[in-house]
Amino acid sequence: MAVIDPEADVIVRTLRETALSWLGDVAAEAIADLEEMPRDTREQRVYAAKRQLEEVRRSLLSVVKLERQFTSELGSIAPQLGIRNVVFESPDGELVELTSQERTAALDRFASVLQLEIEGSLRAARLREGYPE
Amino acid sequence: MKDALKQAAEALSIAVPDLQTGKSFEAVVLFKAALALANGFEELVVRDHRGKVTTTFRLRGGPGHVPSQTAPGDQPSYLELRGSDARRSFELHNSLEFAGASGAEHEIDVALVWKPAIDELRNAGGGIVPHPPLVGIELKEFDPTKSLDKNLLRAFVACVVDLMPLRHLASFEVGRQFPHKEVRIGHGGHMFLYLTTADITPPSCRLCEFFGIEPHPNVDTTKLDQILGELYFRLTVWMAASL
Repeated sequence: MAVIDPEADVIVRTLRETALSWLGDVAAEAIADLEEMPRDTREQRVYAAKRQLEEVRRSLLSVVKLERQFTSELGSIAPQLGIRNVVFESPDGELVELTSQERTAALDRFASVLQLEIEGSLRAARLREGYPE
Repeated sequence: MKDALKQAAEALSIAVPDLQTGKSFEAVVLFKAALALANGFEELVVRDHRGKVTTTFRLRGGPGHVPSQTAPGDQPSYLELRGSDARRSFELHNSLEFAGASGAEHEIDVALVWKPAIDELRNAGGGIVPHPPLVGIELKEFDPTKSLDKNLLRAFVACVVDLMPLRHLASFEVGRQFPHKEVRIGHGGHMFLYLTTADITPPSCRLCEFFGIEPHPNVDTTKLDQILGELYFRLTVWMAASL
């Protein structure tokens, strides 16, 4: 696969922003109403939020891992079929053209950012509720 | 918010929880199926929608119809398995839609279809495929540590029943009268497979098997040889008997 997409970073950025937006919602939902709860209940909710976030992180990272494997496989199978470029068409007809190396790198960056940001979200949730970092 | 995540996932064609994309999984299985089946044919050719040989494979991004050869712009590509004559030629497509008996449209992730019928459809201006695929493979790329939601399997069972209703008319009665483990609803040469990276619980496997769908949980795409080898064997047996 040899097509270069100069917008690769835009894709990664979009993924990052939207994933964080989603995680933010998960966190917000999980810690909603905390202020009105007794402290022991609040602690349970923070714990629940943490578990939810970790579950989301684990699921997303497992899929990223699979995608990394598939991308690598595509890079080796396509030439056997005489295919030089694989172009992914999005449902709205737009194209995503990445080399397998670029796609792998994008997935890795996404996973890395996801990991850092979830840790940050958890820390923020705990600090917001007055727990030590 | 989920729309935003979906948009982002689609941008990189990846699967995310609750959002079924996973196009790279589709591409890997499509290409590996082509390689596995190619031995039974004269030639394996990658074609664009105009029928020209191409080195750029455009993977269909969502459920779609067979385009006319004269359709403007770039349309999805396909793989042709060219036999000794037209009757023995097939095509492999991804995300193609087929008409069910109810009139509902059903997307099949990876489908093997008979080339003469698809050519006829192309020449008539394209459209939804009016008959079931010879081989239909449903794919689900989900967290490997979890079991697949049974509703996803139910949905595919309903899809297969709608594509081939006559094969299932007696199935419920058959299920009542015979021990379940002995019963398989056959599809007369048509084959349906369910491949997922997740687990499938035994009751869900049984549901699939009863309706003639082969469940393949915890699929490792680096080890598809056995599944695709069996598919090749059954296809060649069917071709020898039917074509």
